[in-house]
Amino acid sequence: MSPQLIDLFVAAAEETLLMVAASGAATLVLGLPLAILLVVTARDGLLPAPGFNRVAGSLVNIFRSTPFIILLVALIPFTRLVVGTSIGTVAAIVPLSIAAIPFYARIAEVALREVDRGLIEAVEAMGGTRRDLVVKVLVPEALPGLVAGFTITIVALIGQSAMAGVVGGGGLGDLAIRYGYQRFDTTVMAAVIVVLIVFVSAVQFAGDRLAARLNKRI
Amino acid sequence: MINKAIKSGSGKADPTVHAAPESPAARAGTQPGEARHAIIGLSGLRKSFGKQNETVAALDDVSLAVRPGEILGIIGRSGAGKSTLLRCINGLERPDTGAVLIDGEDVTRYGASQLLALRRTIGMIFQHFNLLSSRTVFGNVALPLELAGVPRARIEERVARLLDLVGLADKRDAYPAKLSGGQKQRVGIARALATEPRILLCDEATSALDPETTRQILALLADINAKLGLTIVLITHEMSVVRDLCDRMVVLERGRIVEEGPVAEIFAAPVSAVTRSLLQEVMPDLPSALAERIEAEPRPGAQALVRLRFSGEGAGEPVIAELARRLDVAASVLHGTVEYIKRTPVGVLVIALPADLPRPLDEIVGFLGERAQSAELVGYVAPTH
Repeated sequence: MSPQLIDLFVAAAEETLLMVAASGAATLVLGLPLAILLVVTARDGLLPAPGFNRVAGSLVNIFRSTPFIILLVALIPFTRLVVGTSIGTVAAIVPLSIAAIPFYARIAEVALREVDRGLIEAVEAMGGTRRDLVVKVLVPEALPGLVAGFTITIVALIGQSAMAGVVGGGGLGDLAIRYGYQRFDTTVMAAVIVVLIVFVSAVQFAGDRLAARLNKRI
Repeated sequence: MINKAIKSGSGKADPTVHAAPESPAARAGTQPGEARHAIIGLSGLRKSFGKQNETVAALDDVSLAVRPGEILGIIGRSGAGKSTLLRCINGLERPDTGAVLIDGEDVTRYGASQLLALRRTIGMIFQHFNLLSSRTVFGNVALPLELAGVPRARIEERVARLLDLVGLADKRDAYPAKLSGGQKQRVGIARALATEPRILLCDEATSALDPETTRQILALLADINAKLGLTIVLITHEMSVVRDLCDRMVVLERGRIVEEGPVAEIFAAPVSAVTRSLLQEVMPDLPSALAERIEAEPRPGAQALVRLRFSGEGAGEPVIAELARRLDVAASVLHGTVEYIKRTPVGVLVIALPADLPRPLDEIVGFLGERAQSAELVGYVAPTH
């Protein structure tokens, strides 16, 4: 690879990291509360609200079932509203987040549901408020599962960020398409794949380690 | 089993004859006025579960008074409503109708914040311990104090004392997964005592433990009851737990109280069929090998079987010898058990009377009934050869 191409490569890697980190952060900040809401408002939850639960669940399903490449384009007006532009790396963060939030919410919901009802009852019996039940029981007890689920979400985000080129988001995937595929530059293609493998492996390794360390159940 | 109770002689009332299972034997039950001295008073509790058409009554008009400092055992089979009853006391369940008086205040009318405050004065331990796996032993015991907003320094000091009390000071930083069942329940007890409650609710607290660990946990509870004057209400399906720990007991069946009174009295003279059947576990009143051979009517040469129950001083009376000396009847002992309940001996004895009796059977049973707590004809066994 020419020095020029190497610069492009580094820039693309940075764009990928930025997109994944920013949308990952948004997913954690918005997806986890959404998951908690889904669990808490369920019929057997701490604060049953079947109507709200159904609406929220349907919204999650709608976004989960829309293919990302379509979401990317369909969300352009919304993206412009949020970040002021519909083109570029920052603009790609919006649809990436919108896709990952419901994805993570469903995974986190499963982890939160796994928490033994007996623990909820025990803390209720000692005079815990609903807030205590969420903060001191649900989240800490589900933490290993929440971390494992977040790892899966980040890996999915790395994959989806490859499509960001459609809205000029750049990143490694875009580099691979334009140089590796359209210009038949196999070296670039191979290099991108290797770097992505390294990224995904590092995320998975770190996530597994953290989840195992947080798991006090064994 | 044939339960043909013959009314024992004059004087002593035989509860096996008089009390019908429908009417809770008021032996030492809730008296009017007693509720005033009660720390917990339940009156007319009803609670049913299910949809409109198919409701199941978990509690059906339950009234009960728990005295300060006593250990009350609520026993019944699964589905009898024990769990619901226990959860009405700390407001985890709200009865459909009826009042739950804690120190004379009806807590069923409490709002959310009053309920939270109430629960901080009532400790609870569970069959499956329900410890947070994400917290250490220290963290688990500290939790109720954190919820109550106790300052960190006081939490440290208080948890250290509680862990000493339950004998787990060396496990302070261990996670529950590394503890044995008995140790987990000790943590549960320390946690329940953290906010210095006056009432401790035990939900099948030893049902997941082996017999030896059960014995240790029950001893710890008895010790805490004596040291701290804590009122304990426990639910269990094991008569041995009631025998080893409780002062008084309540037998629950299909949401109703079928028997209530001091443990020794009920062990000596169980009234309801449920109580009798639950008692088989600790104090079999007829070995199954014998029960199979019993017939309702005497065949020629059959021996009459009489079951005697004893309690207190009566347990020391030489009944068999008296029978031989005074009535010239040589009875043989087929089965016997004696249990000590809070130092009161309580026993069951099954004797066989010879086929050729010098006196009418009724008279002999009456004679025995005067000397024992009760005597009843169980049936007849034909000679085996």
